[in-house]
Amino acid sequence: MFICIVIKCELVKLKRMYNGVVYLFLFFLLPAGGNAVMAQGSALSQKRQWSVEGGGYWVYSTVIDHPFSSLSYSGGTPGAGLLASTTGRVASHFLELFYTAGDRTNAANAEVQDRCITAAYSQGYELTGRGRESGIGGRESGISVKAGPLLKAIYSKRTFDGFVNVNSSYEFTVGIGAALFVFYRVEGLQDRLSFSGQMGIPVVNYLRQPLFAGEADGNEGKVAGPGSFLDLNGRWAVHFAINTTQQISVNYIWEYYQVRTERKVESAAHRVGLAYNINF
Amino acid sequence: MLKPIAYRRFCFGVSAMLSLMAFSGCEKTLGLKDPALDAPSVYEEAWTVMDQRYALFGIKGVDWKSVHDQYKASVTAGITKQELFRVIDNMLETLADGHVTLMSSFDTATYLGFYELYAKNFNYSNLLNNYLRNDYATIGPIIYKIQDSVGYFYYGSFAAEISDADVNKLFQAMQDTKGLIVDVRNNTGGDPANAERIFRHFLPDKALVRYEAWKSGTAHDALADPSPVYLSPAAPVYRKPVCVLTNRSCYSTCNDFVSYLSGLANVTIVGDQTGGGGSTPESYVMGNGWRLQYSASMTLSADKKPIEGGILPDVAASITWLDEGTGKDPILEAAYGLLQ
Repeated sequence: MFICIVIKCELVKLKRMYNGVVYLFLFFLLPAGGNAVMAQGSALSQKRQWSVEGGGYWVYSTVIDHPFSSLSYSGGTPGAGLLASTTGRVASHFLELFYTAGDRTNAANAEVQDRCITAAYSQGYELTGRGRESGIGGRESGISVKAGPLLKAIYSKRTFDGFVNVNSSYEFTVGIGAALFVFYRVEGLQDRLSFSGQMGIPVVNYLRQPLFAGEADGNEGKVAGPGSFLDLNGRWAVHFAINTTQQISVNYIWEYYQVRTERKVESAAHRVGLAYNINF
Repeated sequence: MLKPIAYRRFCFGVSAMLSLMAFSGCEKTLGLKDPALDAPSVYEEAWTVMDQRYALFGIKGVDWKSVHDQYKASVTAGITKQELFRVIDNMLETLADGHVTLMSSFDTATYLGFYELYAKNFNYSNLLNNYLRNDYATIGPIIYKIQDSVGYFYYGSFAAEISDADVNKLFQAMQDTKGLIVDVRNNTGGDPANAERIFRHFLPDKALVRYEAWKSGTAHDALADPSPVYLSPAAPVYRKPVCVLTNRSCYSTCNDFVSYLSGLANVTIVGDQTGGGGSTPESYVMGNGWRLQYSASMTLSADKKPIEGGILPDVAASITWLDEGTGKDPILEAAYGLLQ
């Protein structure tokens, strides 16, 4: 409820102001402050657990950049991801960075060089009362569900082969929305096996693209709701604990976004990767 | 806090939703797939791309909707891809724009009426044999000669790269002449940077040379405010009388170049009207792999007039069929006479 109120308040505020950046910070400082207050009253929360995960991925993505072509460009490329998290009984924080670059081809064998950087910061507030013990790095078996606000940025740039005068395009978005996390630790197997799922949907975004025509360095930005920018994504992971501080994860991430402006862009990516996770 | 049963249902629902999203074919369900390739769809795509992205409807006077209906009648069920290519080409030709091109693996179609409908007004062999007498110097893609203190150079394509150093060398060589003939006939354009490298040596001070109004939306009249383009001089600056030789094949970047020069007091344009091409083209790849090139901007002169229709000469001159036969170039001779 608290999160919903905060989100609603911030959405209303965002409509009223032009300087969105200030409010983005406020948006995350408010629940973080609340978390700090709650943490004072909980001995468990003071034993916050930190975790860092790094992994290599294989990314198969498809993009249609409508100002350039109605054809889809697809291809597989390597990628790298970094996930840092801190887990407490009440609140958890997640920071994820991902980078991939490579060539995609269309049905006519024309190529585009595609680069994409994604950064996401999210908070998860325990909905099931199980807290840190059942989350990533936790020890208690069973399900834990968390939800909280999300701050996500995407920068994706494409350079097309064989186009005259203007051959590149990009979109940059910073959005706020909601994230949902599910953790499940399997009973038995010495509690080594766990699953996690995550979904995040930015609701209000700042979207920047090139102008309708002309050089790609000319650009325009605007505040965009789901009607102008839709981002859906899901992440599934299987974690195997090597010992109390280290684990190996197999991750699958699906991401789809659609820019619904006069420069319409659709992009989808499947990422499969192996990651190493260490807890502090 | 959720009760155990409700919470288990909640978790099941969340898991099911994530599973569905992750494994159900995802992007194709959401519409991320290639378009239909039947002839009517290809025709509609070509028409729509031009309808939404072509920048010169405002000065072409073409009823694009009528054009759609007129040519759509030819797109029948059994039409071959070669026939479809020709239908779309005919549709595009109504725009009379040399920057509009349709390319496929088996053919390329460009509007060439900007010069094909007019006198050629240039004969390279006659120029070399009878005027330069095969005795000239070369710097990069440029040939030049100085005769009776009048300089002459020919730049046949701005697509041919020239360096700053070479341009500098050329103008150093021309410094002691009493006048200069710049021949850009049959120059159908190329890289604007090459044209600007030359033009800067005629420019006494930084100057506004053109405006570019880019398409800003899908409506026919959606053009952004024209953005000014300035150029600065490069030494050595040539300040003596200059004649620029033009014909209808001077197009696109060449058209811009002549437009820039027409704003200078010491420059006289001699010959025929330029072919036009006052726009910047961009590309689009259609669903069947055919490439479509279209004008994405409208180029305006320094006094904000469209130059798509070409630049008129100050001194009109032409090469008749009789001149061709006798090896004469009255355009070059007119310029030479002006500088004597």
